[in-house]
Amino acid sequence: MRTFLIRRLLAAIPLLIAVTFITNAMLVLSPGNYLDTIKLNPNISPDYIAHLERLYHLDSDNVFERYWYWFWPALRGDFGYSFLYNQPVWEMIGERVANTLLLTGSALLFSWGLAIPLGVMAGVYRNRWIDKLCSFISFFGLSIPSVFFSLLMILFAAKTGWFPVGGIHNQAIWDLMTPWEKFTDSLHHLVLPTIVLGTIGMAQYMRQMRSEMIETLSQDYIRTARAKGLSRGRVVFRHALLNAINPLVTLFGFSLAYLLAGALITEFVFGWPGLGTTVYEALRDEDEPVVMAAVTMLVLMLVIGNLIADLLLAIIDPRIRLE
Amino acid sequence: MKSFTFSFVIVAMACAVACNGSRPKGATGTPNPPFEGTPPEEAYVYDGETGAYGGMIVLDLPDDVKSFNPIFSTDTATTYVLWYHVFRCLVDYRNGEDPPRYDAGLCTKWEASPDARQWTFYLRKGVRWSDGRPFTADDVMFTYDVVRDKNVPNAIKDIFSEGEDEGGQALYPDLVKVDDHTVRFELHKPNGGFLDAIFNLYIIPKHKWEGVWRAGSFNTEAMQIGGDPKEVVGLGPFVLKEHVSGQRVVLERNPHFWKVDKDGDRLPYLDRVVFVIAKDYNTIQAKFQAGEIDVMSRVRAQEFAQVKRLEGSGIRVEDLGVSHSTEWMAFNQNTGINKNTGRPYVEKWKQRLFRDQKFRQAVSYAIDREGLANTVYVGRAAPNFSFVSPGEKYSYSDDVMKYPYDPERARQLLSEIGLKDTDNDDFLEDAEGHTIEININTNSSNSQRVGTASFIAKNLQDVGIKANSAPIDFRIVINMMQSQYNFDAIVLGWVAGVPPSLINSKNILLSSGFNHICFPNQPAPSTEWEARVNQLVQEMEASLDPAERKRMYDELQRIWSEQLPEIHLVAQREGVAYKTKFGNIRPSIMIPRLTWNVEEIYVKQQ
Repeated sequence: MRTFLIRRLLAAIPLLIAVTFITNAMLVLSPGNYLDTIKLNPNISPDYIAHLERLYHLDSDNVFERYWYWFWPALRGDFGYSFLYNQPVWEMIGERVANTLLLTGSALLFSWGLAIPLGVMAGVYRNRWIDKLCSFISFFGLSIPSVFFSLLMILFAAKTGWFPVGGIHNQAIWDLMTPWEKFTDSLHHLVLPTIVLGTIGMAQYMRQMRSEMIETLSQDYIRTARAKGLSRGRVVFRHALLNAINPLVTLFGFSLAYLLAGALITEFVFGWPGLGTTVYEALRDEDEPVVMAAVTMLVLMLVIGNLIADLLLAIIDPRIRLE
Repeated sequence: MKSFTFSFVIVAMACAVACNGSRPKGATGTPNPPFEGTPPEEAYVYDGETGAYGGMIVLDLPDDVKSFNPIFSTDTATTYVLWYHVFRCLVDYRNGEDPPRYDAGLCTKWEASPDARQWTFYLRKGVRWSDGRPFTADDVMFTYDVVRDKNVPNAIKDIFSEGEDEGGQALYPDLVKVDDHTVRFELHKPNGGFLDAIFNLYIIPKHKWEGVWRAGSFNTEAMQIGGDPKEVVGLGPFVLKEHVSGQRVVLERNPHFWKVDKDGDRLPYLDRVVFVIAKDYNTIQAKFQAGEIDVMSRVRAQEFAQVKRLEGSGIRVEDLGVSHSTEWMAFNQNTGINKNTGRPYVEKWKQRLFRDQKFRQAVSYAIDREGLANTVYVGRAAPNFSFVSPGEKYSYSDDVMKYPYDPERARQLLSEIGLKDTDNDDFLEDAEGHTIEININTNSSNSQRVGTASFIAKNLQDVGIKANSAPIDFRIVINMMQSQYNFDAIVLGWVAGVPPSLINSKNILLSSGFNHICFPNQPAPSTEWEARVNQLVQEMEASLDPAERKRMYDELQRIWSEQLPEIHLVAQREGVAYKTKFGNIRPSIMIPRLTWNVEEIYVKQQ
């Protein structure tokens, strides 16, 4: 187990280097840089621009040289200062990472928490009304584009007033709230983005769960178990479910990757101050240190997500040994 | 897992009801946080409508703040938060008055010597910083020292710059401390518009930052994002309470603010000001509609009709008229040679064309500005022919050369300069047989500019110029314009400063300026009219007489419209929306449109 963990973490290092190098190279090679936007300000002199150019090492176009300027301090844990905010990058990103994890975590909970019970029910009561309802939900979830779904939800919130129109907190009075009010306010803001982000995944996993369940229920050992006189509930939950869920655990690792990617759009439309919005804006402004740190974080989160999936699989399936 | 999920959803749903009953946002009658100490002996007395204490205003902020240091702030979001609300200059500016004017702020009065070279400011006595320490001439001296420090790169220094002395050292006006409450700026050359420079010098406290500055770490340690908000000590009506990146900036009452109303009650009336960061105009509109924010500080042309329908039931949507910003198209008249390739920036035959006044005038006649305003700007723009927007009614000159839509006239002018369709492809050729084909670049992020560029391209095709609209990334446009010089024509706009002044335009007007788009950074003016414009700018700067300045500005606008270094297109109309529960909101076309008098705004008691 330990060697497995160490090996997986070591394998992440070349991956990280490759991804960050490519990201950096693309930033360097794309035309223009962070300073171009402020060049249009009539009050800023060319001298000041030149000064900043030297300060940020933007005067060199050599991909390797620029990567080195980033890599060497980063190796020692110094990810530099944001060009735009003149603030240590970690300070900026830390809270954003937490926000993204909150949203993806709750979407993960939402999609799996609904997909498994609904999938099981649909599989067990095959071709009955509950199965048909589940089919409808999953086709809806799979076919609706998430941007459109987000906008629909925002419109819903604006028209009914039942939910806040995007954002993560009630900004006007957040600092005056009691802890309990803060908690409920946060949940209130979480509902709509969670539904949007979780729905697509839920639809997929529910389909998967249903077909795995149907397949497992037709196995001989299930018939045997029923023949031995075990109750229907015990057969479904104890014998069928544990076997049927196996392939879904593999999906779990991917689902984290998928959620992080999907979160970018949802975060943007809902004005959720997460990593996705940060990367988008940093890319737009070519705020290189922030892009680099955020990409590093995203890769790390993916690596860890996949690792968790592997570990879960080993725990659930006794046939798998991690060596 | 199942039951947990459902209870999670149910709790969340329950909150939908629970959270709607938030705290009262209205006037309470008592200031909270309360004022401290006594008002200064020379308090500024505001003599307008009095209001009630309490409540807050929630504003939209279209981008995150980048710094809390007013010396470094240049972007719109940061200046929107810091200027007027948190920091103040020696003088105030009343955006919403007619005419807008400078007002005694931190100084009780100011004087200019007849030669416009000595500007004296008499500071208000008894004024305190937001942390309670007294404000004196030393703070002004300190701020000015920091701004001039060559190790503190900032844009304000360029505003004060008077060029270089014989030794090549940057030259700035000297600042003399006459006594604890009087300072005098001594200029090396006359400047009648010096208040416009002063209105960029936001005063920072010496007692707070002198040590940091002397230690050489002012750039990295003073008033940074992420620092303790209490450290941001200012002279504005509000102080920083909290900033959460990507979410909000919360300001609360400065307990030492130095203004009182005519009843002797201290200002500001509001307890707090909250800026909610919302980066998308649709989100801002939805939040306004849902009542999460109290104002829309900008209602864009394309949404105006839609937002206007919200009016009534406590909401007012106001058309502010034509903005001070201008939109234009400029041809590349650069005669320089690219040192890297050894070739001219602009091909010879194009250069000949673009530098021909008649060609530019023909193009101007070919553009249907009315059509442009009605389609691309959905009717919320006015045709403009001058360097100055007609919205800037005290500087705008109507006596400029105008180019009403006249494709016939355009064709005639084009044939006068020898352009003919020699190969019958509906496009004109010059004497050497080059088909007149040009690319019109603009920034792709701005849908109105993209629309404008293709509209103009169509107009030009109608008169035989093979014009292509080519929207590209903003950075590339800027690069082409300021360093590569490899464009044919560019569609862009200028955003006017507050107040609009010559200082902000100098880099555009002077032939040596880097934003003199048709041919930037010229060592010496390449044409007579450019020399004349340079001279006019200098004379205007030196003059104290408003009438004389206006006369010169009129002449400058006349030249600009005849020579068309920039072909001006339209000026947009601006709008704002706000809740009517606020008293003393007096919208202005100039930013901050709704809160320039934030200390006077109050929540009406129901």
